[in-house]
Amino acid sequence: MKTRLSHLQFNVNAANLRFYHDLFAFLGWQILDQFAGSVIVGPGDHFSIWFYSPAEDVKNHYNGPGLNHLAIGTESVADVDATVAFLRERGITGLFETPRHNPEWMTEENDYYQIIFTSPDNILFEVVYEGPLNT
Amino acid sequence: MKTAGIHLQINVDAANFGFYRDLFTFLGWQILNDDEYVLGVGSGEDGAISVWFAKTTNTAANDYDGPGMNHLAVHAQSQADVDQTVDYLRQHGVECLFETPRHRPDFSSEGSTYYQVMFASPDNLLFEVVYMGPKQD
Repeated sequence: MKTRLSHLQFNVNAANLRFYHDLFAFLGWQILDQFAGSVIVGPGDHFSIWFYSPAEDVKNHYNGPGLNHLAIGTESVADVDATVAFLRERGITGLFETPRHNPEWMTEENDYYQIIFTSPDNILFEVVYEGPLNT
Repeated sequence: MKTAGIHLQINVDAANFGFYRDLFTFLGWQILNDDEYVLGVGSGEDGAISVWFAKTTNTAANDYDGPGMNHLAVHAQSQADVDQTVDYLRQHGVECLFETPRHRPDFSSEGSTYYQVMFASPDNLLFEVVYMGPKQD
């Protein structure tokens, strides 16, 4: 059998749909569909993320069983820095001492430059450049 | 901006690594890493997407209907692949949820079908295997 990742569904609060719309548009993804309580985005291949509302009124923790984080790769360090600026304009700051070059995941040739943050629904995201140093 | 690759970290009980290893091997994915802390899998078709199952000892009672990831869906190339997945799950004692396997007219367009099975892993994470394309009955 041959399969691939198709899509992810995230449950979010309707009031936050605009955040995901704007974030993924900023990251260069396509807005594939929008209808009442939903935004569907994709990077331009077969994969998509469906943001659906409403979410049940419970408190989930990203360190518990389930998704810890979703990471989006960029083509440059500058793209990560631009994301940092985008987030700061919305009052969102980096977690875990990011943005930073994370030596845990770097090699002699390759960089790992990341920003980690939570969305208004406390969903953990990462935007990361993985590639040759000094880009 | 143009993005380049996606990965997911999913926290699970390490005692369940075998479930995910066997499931994703059955689904035709490659094992990218396999040690006591992390099981990494990738579909191979698009090496830019990978899923990393990481050991957690946190036992928070997360609810997939709450804020966060509701489910992860894997695309199959045929209805038969979905049916084979159903057989695989039954052989492993995994219950199919939400009246699946079934066609979903509400997610289908003209000339196409959306044929899915949904199930929960031992960590109560929701997964879907779905065929989207011309109906093959």
